[in-house]
Amino acid sequence: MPLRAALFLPILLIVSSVTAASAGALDLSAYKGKVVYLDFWASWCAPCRQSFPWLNELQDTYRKNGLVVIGVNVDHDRDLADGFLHKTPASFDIVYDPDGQIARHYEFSGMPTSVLIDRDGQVRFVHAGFFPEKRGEYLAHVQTLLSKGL
Amino acid sequence: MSQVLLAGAKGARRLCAFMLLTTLAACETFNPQPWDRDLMAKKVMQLNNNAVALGINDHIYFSKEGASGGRSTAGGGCGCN
Repeated sequence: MPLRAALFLPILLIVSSVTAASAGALDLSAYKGKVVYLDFWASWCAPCRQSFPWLNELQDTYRKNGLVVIGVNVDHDRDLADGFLHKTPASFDIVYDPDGQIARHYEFSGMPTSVLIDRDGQVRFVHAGFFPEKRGEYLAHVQTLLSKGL
Repeated sequence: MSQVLLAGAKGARRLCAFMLLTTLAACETFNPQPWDRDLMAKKVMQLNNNAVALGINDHIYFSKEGASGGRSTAGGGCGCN
């Protein structure tokens, strides 16, 4: 009887860590056949102020080619995210991930991070950080994925 | 089988060891995840946000101890880019 009670805690921890790991993935099944540019941003991330205008331009230019830009916000406080969006608006969809579930699923090591997913739902490129001088490289990656599967 | 392994004082110790090890498995990293660095990005949390205070401290360290430098800036901030 006490044995069963004593084993409960470690088993609970193992089970909860396994279920937490699988719970976080963003459901991208609706975007099959489209290229998804998943950008993880936060109100406290200074490079995001530069990346948003570029992402807006990217989305507007390539929407007709099947590009979907999704901004995943990782702020713990929703008001901060809204304040950022008020100053730097986004013409792309925003998903809120305050608990970091989606972020944990993609396992990146810095902010901001962009994950490029091709038309079959596979992660093809990961951009760590946002550097204005690398915009050409980012665009080239997007165009590579857009040109496939047509 | 479990009755044999976990009987008596040795059994209690084995059980404690098992619980401790499995609990330790839940400790993933020591550093905050990149998306959790919001508080570290605040100005008050920066190591070097007040140049005047840093200058005063450097002067005191030099004049009282004859020490200089030794300041590193690793690990703080939002870690962006």
